[in-house]
Amino acid sequence: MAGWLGCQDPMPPPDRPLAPRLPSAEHATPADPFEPIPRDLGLDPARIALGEALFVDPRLSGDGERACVDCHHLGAGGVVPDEERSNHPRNETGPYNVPTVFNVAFNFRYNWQGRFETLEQHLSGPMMNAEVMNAGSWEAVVERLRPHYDQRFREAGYATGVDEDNVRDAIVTYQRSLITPDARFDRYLRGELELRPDEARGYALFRSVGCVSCHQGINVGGNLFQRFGVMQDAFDGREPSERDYGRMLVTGREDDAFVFRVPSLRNVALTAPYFHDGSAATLEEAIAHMGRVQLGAALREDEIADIAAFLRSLTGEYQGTPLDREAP
Amino acid sequence: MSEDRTRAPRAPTIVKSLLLLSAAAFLGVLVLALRGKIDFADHERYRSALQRTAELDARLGEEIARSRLGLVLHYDGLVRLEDVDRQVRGALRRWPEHLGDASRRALEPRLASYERSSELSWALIEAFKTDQAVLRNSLHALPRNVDRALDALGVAPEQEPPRAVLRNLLRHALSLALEPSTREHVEPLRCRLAQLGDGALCAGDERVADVPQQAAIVRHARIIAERTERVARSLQARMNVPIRADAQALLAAYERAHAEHAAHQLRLWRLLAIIGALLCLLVAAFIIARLHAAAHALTRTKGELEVALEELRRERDHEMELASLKSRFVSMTSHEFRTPLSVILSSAELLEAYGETWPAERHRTHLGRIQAAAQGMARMLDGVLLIGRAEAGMLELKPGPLRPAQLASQIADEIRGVVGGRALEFDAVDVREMWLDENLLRHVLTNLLSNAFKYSPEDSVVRLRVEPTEGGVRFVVVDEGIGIPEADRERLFEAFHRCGNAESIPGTGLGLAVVKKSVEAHRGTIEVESREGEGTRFRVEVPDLEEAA
Repeated sequence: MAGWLGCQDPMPPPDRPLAPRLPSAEHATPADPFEPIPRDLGLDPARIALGEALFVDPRLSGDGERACVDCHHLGAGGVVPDEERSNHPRNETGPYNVPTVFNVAFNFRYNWQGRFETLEQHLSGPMMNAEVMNAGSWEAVVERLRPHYDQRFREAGYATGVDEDNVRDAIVTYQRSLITPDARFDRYLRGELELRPDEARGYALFRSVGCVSCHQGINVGGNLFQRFGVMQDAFDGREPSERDYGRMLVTGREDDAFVFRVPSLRNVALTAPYFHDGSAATLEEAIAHMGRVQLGAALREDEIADIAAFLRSLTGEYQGTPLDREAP
Repeated sequence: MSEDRTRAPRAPTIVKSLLLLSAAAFLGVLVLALRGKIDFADHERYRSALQRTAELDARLGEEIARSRLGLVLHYDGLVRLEDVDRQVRGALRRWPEHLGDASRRALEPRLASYERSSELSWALIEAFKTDQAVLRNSLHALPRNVDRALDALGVAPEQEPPRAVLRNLLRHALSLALEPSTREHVEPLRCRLAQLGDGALCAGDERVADVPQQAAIVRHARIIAERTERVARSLQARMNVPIRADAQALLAAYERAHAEHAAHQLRLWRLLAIIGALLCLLVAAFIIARLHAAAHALTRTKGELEVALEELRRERDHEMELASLKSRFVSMTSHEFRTPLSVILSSAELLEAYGETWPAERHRTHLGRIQAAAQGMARMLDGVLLIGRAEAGMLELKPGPLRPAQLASQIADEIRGVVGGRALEFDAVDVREMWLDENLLRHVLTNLLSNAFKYSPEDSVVRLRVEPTEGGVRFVVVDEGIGIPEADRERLFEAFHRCGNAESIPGTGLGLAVVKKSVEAHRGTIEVESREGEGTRFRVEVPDLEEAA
């Protein structure tokens, strides 16, 4: 991943490429807390195509009825367009809001608790979760896939055909390819357009109010952990349930109570509802809540509207098509 | 020869077993050496991964400092370095193939120590990121909230109680912001504090100021205090993580293990070279021994072959000699026997035809011719048989006690009787009795004397002398006859050979052959001196067979 920042010398490449090398942004200034998303990551198209086939193939699941794409709709910001989403499809009242699959290449941890350090590790989470894909074991997955995919894997350059590492690699390659460059904001960063006045005001507020302290970097978030409720209790006095303890469930440390991975705000306008529990139905609601509990700032409605306008400018394009084209 | 035969194959057997032994040793050491073969690319990979830890640490230090000072406003650089670190740790977990189990076991605690340090370091960096984000926000938010509070209050100096509260808050915030990284951000607060007037605290300070920003200002001031300390603590803790020492210890331990292994490999290869040289020597020795044995066998075979060839050649010569003898015998006998036979036949025919009319004298003459012819044939037959026996190696030597002078005198008398009136001078020194073969000597002397008379004129004298020699006796026969031509000397003693000047004199050509064979059979020697037209001297020496034995 070395070298996506123009101002940094890349580390010498490791003995094997682990993550795709990202091209550096061209126009971002060092003072900007953001980077535009590159237009191409140079991934192998054959492997992307293979990963896409696997992504939509329900044979990955134990009962053959559920594919990755069932929860990560690409047409809806990378999440299933339910009102109250959960990554536990068999349990409608499951605890967690589904994170988007777009731009995951730029996140530093995966799932709300940051349980997984790499996409490869993360894949086992939903795959082996009995409440999600219930795939059983990787041996079983490989057995199910081999009759249908062995030839395709070999054609995609996987000499050993269908095996666990190759299935992971193909799916993860596809996931990495799911980037949404050319958001209005990115084009502004590249100097290709000017923000609208409300967007510009929103951007200024985003920085001055302090959102940018956590939501920064190429993914406007997704690169650190933060407590939900810095300035005050985020749950407005209700008793926290287990899911609200966040990262503490991973590390067991009390310091990590209510700590979550800061989510990316890329395409955030399309991924309502918000927060780990989906408790904020609208963007405005989420902005107001964040300002209050994280920043101790009681934002006015016009400020919220401006910030929302800025956040909408973060909606990008997938393969040349704006993600919000068909949005209502 | 028999010793050679047993010795020659033994050397290769010893060499062969040594050879097999050292070949087995060579293979064994080779397998060991190859199993521990150092993949230098692998080694370099590992060492460079180890060396990258120091570089990574330095970069992390820089990146943290930049994030802290606000030179970069995002954490992507840190995230990227975390990715690199993950790769480095992955590389460190893959031990170079050539490291033995013992080395790995020795290195594992060091690697575990490094990994623990690395994880701790990242946990502290995460804490830094979280605290720094909040701190940074509060450092911005506090002055903003103060601004807003002042705006709400207006800058009128008469509203003293809220101003005092604000003043105290600001003073508190400033006192907290002693950390160099935050001082810059709170500098505007000093100006505000100056605006508010830096008076003493009054009794109403603890009252809640009637401004909406009150709670936020207090909270941000606390956050600045807390988070500044926590950021400093996290960074100090991270500084104290012995990650660099762990990495260096791991590197040193690895270098040591590698050096030990390399030295071990070097020893193995050296040993291999020595065994290899020995093997080469043994192979050479083996080959030389085999060649030697082969050469030995060849020489032996060659010798045997030569012996056999010589044998064959001798047999062949003998066969040829016999064959030529036989053919000469057949042609000679057919020729030589015909003369006396025709004499016998013609005399017999004449006797038959005229026997009744002839006087008795003529009868006697012809009967005498027949007798003489038959006797000649008998003699010739004796000679041929003797030569044949001699040629076939069957001429037996039967010595007995004999006085040579007596024998010679006896034979001289017999010859005198035959030649009738011819002069024979006999001269004998007294010779002691010795062991001689009378029969052979009789052949020798009879033939030599009769030849001497036959090939010399009627009035000449033949001399026979007997004299002792050292260990034997010498007979010398001298005549004054026609002599032997130079050209015939060489073949003089061959059977049926007649001299060029003797063709007019009847003879079989067997006499001297018989003499020669007899002398040889007696282990004696015969010499001849002759001058054509003047005479011939035969000198025969034979040993006393008792003394010779």
